[in-house]
Amino acid sequence: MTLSKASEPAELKSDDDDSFSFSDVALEDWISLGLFFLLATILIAQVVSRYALNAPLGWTEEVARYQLILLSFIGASIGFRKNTHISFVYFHSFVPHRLMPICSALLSLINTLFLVFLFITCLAIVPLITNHEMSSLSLSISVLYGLLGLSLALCLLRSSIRCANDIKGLFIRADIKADSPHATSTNTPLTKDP
Amino acid sequence: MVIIALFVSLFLLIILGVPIAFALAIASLIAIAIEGSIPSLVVFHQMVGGMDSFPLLSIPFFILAGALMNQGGITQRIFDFAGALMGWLRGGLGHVNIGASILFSGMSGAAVADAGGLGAMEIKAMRNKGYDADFSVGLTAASSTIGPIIPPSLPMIIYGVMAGVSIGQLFAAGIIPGLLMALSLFIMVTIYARKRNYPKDNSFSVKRIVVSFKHAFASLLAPVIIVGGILTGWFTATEAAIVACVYALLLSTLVYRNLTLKGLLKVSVSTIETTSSIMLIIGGAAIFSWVLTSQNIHQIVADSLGFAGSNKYLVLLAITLILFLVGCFMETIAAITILTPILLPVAIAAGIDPVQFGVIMVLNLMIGLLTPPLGMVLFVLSQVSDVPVEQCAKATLPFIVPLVIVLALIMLVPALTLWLPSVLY
Repeated sequence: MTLSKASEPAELKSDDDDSFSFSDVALEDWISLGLFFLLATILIAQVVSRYALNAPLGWTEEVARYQLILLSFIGASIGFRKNTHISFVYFHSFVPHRLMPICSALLSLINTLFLVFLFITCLAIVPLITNHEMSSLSLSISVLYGLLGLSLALCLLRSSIRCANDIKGLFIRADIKADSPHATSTNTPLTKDP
Repeated sequence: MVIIALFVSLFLLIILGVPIAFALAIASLIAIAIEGSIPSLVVFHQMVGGMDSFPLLSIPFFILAGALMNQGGITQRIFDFAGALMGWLRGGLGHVNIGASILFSGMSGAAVADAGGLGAMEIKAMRNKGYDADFSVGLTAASSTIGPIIPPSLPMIIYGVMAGVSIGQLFAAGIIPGLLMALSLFIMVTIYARKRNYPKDNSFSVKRIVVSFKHAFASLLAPVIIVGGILTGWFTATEAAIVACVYALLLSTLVYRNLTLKGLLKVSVSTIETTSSIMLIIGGAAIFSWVLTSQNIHQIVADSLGFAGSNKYLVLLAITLILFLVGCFMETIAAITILTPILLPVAIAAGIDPVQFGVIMVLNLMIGLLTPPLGMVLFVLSQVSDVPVEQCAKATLPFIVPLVIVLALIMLVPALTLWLPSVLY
């Protein structure tokens, strides 16, 4: 009684299909998977320590909160690689076919530039908060921001690869002057094809 | 000026197709640059600050639990049980659709997840039995909004975080409105079934009900554990989410044996992607809302709602119209994060309970998920059913009527939301 392909948890992604192969799994996937299962373990430890052992662990809540933030930014790089961030590309169906590659390139350029901004400001924040300690561990909050900076660097890497490809594609397309149907996403109203 | 720049740039960025999270943050950055005196460091700092909250940790685990239940065959068993229970009525699968949504809503917290998992199953079953495409899609869209009203519910968790309201109370408050929504849809299906002379899908059989109940028993325990655990105060929302995951994992690997390691990794990666998308939207909405606050938006909103005076119902009506409009154009989570700090003080000043207001807000935004131009549930159902979005929207329209009636009821009668929490807490 397995479910049919159509009944997969589609969530908000349009490219969700049944094929899962380990070759599609990149570095950031493994890091975030590790972090995700570690997070689950910590929370299970919290439940067990509170209900079974009656001796709640003090540090689990805070560490778990920071882990979720970190996971969000590392996971975001998967989204930039596969182009699955929640966005409304419904209006793209009104954009003429030939202008679509320019639109995609513009989008990835905007994403990349904003990631550069976030990366720089994140690094600028680090020295300002070295004196602030976490409340349950004797670690500086700047450790969190340092790790966030690394995650943003990963996002930036993925986003700029996409951006470079989009722009390169623009010139190649201008050369051969041919419409390539896969560059548009009019058939998937929610998110774009990777 | 700053506020106008904020909204215009947000609108343009969203139309262009920039990810919602970035559209919110970039619009805020533009507004800050125009304002001139706020350091730009605040953007990233506020994004991180908005994401830093313990109850938000329940998001990935409720998403994972729902995905595990779809992948592991739990959803299918619940659907079969609802089929045995209600398939013998006229328009049987229509009733089954609503019944399964009620049962499933006790395990899942997002309308979009309900539409993509259970909804796909429901539409397929209805189409196979010869129901009209319009009826199947419209009903499925409407019934998927029951999920976030009956606990657990991601929108209510986010509202609770933003409003500082107990998530347990919010969850308890959603139960009666959720059941009312189901009741109103049951009535609607009965009327349709009479008028269009829909078939009875199977005959009534106690034996079938008992067999499918036994088959689904362990699956049906999942909502009991989750909802019961939260309502009795045994678990916090986050702990309930973790327990739900562990239960779904044990059930689908050890008992049903439907889940492989590959399957687990696949749903985990997809959970991480969805989680980080949602969390970034919360972060983006946090800085957006911060900029709005810095521009005294509260005063502006309070002034423009001044015509309503202290008349509770006029205020509620005005807020509902705002929520409905925003719900049509904005993503639910962003809308809750941005609007709660702005609208809640107005509501409290007019004497509306924050718990009741939370349910009103979430139901309002759920209706927004069913309306064009940006109805997320419509997009998802269009994808899983191969019915064009425009047709989905048209088909869903009549089913919005019973939901609006329920919305009016919970606005007029506070006891519908506040009675259950007052008994439990």
